[in-house]
Amino acid sequence: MWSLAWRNIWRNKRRTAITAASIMFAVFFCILMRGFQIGTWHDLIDSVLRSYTGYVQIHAKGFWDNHTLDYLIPENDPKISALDSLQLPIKRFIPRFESFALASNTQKIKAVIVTGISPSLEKNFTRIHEKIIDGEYLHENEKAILVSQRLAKFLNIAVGDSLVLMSQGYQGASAASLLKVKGIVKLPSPEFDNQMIFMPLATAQDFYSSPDLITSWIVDLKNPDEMKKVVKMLSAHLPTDRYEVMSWHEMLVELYQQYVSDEGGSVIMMIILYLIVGFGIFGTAMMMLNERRYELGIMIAIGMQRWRVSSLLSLELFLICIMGLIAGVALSVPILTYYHYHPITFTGQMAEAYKAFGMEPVMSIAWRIDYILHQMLNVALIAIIVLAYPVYSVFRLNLSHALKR
Amino acid sequence: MSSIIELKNLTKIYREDGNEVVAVDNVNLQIQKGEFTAIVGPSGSGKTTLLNLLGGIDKPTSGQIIVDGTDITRLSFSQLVDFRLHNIGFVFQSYNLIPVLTAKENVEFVMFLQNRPQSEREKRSTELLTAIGLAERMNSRPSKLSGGQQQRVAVARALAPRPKFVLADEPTANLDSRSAENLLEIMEMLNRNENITFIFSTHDPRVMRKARRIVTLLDGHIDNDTVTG
Ligand SMILES: Nc1ncnc2c1ncn2[C@@H]1O[C@H](COP(=O)(O)OP(=O)(O)OP(=O)(O)O)[C@@H](O)[C@H]1O
Ligand SMILES: [Mg+2]
Repeated sequence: MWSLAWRNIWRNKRRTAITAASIMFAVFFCILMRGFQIGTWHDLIDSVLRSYTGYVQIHAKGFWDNHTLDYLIPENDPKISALDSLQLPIKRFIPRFESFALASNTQKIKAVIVTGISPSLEKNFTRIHEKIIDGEYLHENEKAILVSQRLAKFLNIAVGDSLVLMSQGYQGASAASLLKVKGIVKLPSPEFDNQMIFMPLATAQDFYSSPDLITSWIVDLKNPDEMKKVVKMLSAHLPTDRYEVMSWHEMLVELYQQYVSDEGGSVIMMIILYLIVGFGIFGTAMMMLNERRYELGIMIAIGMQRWRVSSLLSLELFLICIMGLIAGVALSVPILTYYHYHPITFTGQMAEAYKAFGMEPVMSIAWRIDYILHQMLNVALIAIIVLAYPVYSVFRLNLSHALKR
Repeated sequence: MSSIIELKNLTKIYREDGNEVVAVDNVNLQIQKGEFTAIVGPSGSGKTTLLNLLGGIDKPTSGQIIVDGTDITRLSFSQLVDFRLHNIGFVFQSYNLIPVLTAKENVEFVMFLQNRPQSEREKRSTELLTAIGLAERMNSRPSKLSGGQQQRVAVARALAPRPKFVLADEPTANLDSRSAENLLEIMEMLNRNENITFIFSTHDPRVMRKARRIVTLLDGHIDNDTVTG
């Protein structure tokens, strides 16, 4: 049966080659397109998320929407320490204290975002210490701050100067403090660079009269691909009336929507491409059937069951699809692999645009088996849909008509 | 002698846009084992229709077709496929063979569908191809064979599983007279050697002469039925 099918598909070499080639190009194109797309987004998202929010955060329920000090959680939380024993795919939990303040240097005043950080833990996550362009990084517990570059420029302050911060502390206590500028950091995003102040966690807690309290845990994932799983697991282990576990999808809604719409665009493109391929295979199936109506009639007449005849035809079409698929994968994987290890480097304006967002000016390409498998699945699915036609036709075939020449 | 095929009041009416054509008109006929029978008659007299009914390829409008005690008009489509597989050999007018298979593979094809063991298929196909004088060509594809050779291979394929009977609708129609005669000689030889019943239709008077019984159709009914041999 296999040998019969194999020989049959070479009866019309050109048609087989054209059909297989169309599948090959669709697979090739889709794999490369997806590779670039996933690669680029992966880089973009990773750099945005790593620069501040992280992929997942835990807060007191309601914090993200209100961002006030009415939503604080303990820094030493048995509920969070209990998570450590669960063997979740998480590197660590990083505490932060995030709030607002007014910063003033006697001449100018500006609203700023104050983030209390653990200097040691943050070193491995946001790597703020690498972004210091002047001065030094913070030590734990010290009464000093890092100021973002544009903010420092606006307030006209430099390393060694002092800055007055004013705000409202926990439960209405007033907060005011004079803090020494220990370093200037250059943040990639202009928005952040305009208004960020970092200080050691304890200093922030002290400033906001909130000892041992924090606003957020940054969940440092072992593998970003497991984000959804982690969110689910964390939500399951924390009381949902007191905590909220949020992924960046919920925290950075605009970025996520852009990502989704870009994804949607490429999915539509893929659907169109595969529709064309589907019709191509369908055409081949139709021609195959028309040419061989008499021959199929003879096969049924001499005792071949219709299911066997349709299996033969299906097998033939399937072999063509598989050949196209294998060729497409074989063609794209080396290219994918090459560009994965040798990313395309931009120059000129494009490079500047990338740098402005704190990204390397390279277009990387993802090398992940899942979307390659996905293309295979697509082809298999199309093949199965198209196969319905010959099967249907064979079962509808009128034997005495088919045998008339 | 016991009859292996019995047709009782067999009628086939084609209805096409209001017109009725009675292609087979109340035919009663018995075929005995080992017969070598020709169905003859002018064009449109119903030869093909009758053979298609006999082979379970078409369903009659009324009447019965009893093969070895089974009324095949009651069988479902797939039961009929199996019935043909195990009981009937077919030779069509032309292009009988599967083009991508060699002569030998074509001869073995029905036995292959019957799941007969490889060794048996091998033995039988070699034996038959030798008998029809094509032992040397057994690995040729049909396109490399002449029309007469192709028809001989088709006869070998029909006979290979030793069916109860062989139906051949104008097997010689596309052959020159020498090849036609040769094919008939081979058919007759196999009919005698293997005692397998042959029923074939023809227009050709020289082919008719080889038959031992001639059933003449006219407008769908039996006009004449003569045993000559
Ligand atoms: N599928 C069909 N639909 C309608 N009429 C049909 C059909 N098949 C055959 N007929 C009619 O039935 C009659 C008998 O046809 P049939 O093909 O059996 O004759 P035949 O003896 O085999 O003729 P020929 O010698 O030309 O092959 C003819 O009048 C033909 O037109
Ligand atoms: Mg006819």
